[in-house]
Amino acid sequence: MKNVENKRGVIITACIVIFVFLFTLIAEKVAPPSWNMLFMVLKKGSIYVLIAVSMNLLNGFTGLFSLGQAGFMLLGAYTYGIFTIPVEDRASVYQYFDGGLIQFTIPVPLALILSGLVAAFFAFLIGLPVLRLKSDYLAIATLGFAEIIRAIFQWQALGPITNGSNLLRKFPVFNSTIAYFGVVGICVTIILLLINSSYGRAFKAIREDEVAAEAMGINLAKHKMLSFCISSFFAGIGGALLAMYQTSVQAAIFKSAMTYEILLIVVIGGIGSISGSIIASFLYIACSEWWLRFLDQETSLAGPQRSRFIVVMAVIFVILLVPMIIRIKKPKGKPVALYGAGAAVCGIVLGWLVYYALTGQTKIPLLRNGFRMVVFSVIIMIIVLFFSQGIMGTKELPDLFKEKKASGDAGKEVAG
Amino acid sequence: MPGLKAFVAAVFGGIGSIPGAVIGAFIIGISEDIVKGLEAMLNMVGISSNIGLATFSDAVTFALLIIILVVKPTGLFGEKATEKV
Repeated sequence: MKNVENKRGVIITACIVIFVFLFTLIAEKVAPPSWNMLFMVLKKGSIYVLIAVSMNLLNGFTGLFSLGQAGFMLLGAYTYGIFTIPVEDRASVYQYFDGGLIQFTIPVPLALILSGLVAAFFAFLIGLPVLRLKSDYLAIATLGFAEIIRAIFQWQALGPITNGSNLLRKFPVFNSTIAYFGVVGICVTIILLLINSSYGRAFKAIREDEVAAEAMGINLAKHKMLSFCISSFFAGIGGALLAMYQTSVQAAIFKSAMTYEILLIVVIGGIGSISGSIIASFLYIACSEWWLRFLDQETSLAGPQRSRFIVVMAVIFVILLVPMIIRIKKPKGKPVALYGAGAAVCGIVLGWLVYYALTGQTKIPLLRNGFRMVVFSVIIMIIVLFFSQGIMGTKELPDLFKEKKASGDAGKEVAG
Repeated sequence: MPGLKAFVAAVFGGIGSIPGAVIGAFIIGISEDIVKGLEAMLNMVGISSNIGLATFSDAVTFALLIIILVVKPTGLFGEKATEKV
């Protein structure tokens, strides 16, 4: 660690990572069943971490805007499923295709690596004509290839291998969260080491200015193809892990909507920041699966505290509404939109209170099945509008724990 | 999905050319429906085939796009804009 300038930040980050691993290892053994939701979120979040980091490698570090991740995930998931279904179960899974064509199995770690290799191979074939295109056309071309791959895997004529449009199931799965964390941890470490090497610096040079990079002697085609293949390798492994999490593989799930989810996670976390993708992935999965669930249930205020609660709420919101409206006329430092939004929220709550006073119904309106997605979308829009650099921008987690130098030292460094 | 295919049709015809967009859209739309009905047409003619080509109707749109992007990246009627360094 002699050449690392930010030793304190790296050590603190390593301690945090080790603590998280130990926490999941121990908590899974002793936790009560009511914690199941937490472990589900951790498993799915870690899978999306791997895929988001692979997309960040391609999009944030090399500057190639590609939307084909769902296709490579599909390839990885199917490869894992096809080669690990036990031979005695094949007849029941491939029931319309006489037991299927492939009648041997491969051990699980080997199958994971094979799924990555198959995805990387197809990325190599796709990249040959496509990587010379500019950003928008590259996005559409890779999106097109993902759709073509999905159509091929749903084709009935390939049924003996892929089971057509039916599910692939009964393959071995990982049951514990720590197994997912282990695989994802190894893969993210490899990507980190790659980014901090000379290949990583070449990728960043290509992202900044392709013409200048080529003038400095970087072989554009070779490095773009390398980045594309490595990103698809890890997307393939991520697809195999997703197959394990869902215990079934079906081509219809891997639509382009999944790619847009991953792109959203990358943008929210910060394009060009690995720790941003990790944090944003867990936050996204937690918000969409767990934390906003209470918005889907119809609730009503009932009980003896009801009238007191209503009166208190009415007083609070009237008190809040008046200064909001005043501040809209004379904003002090914060943007006017903030006060406008605050006034709107107060107005809505007061409107509901008036509705209650008139009719006596205590059901909180709008809280029904599906409202969770509306709130989720609004939250995402606010993040993208007001925090457009993402949660972490281009910084990594160790940068947050840097030692603050006194300004006098900086002056001496420059002068001396 | 229809919006995506509209973008594909515009790129196929050439960005920056309105007649190109019209012709590109017609070609893409008609090819997609030909693929959907290809097996029925072949069965009518006498060649019996049952391999389920209808699943490739979406795929043929993107296959045409990739062919045009590889052969003529500016589209059928597009103009080449010179790149300033």
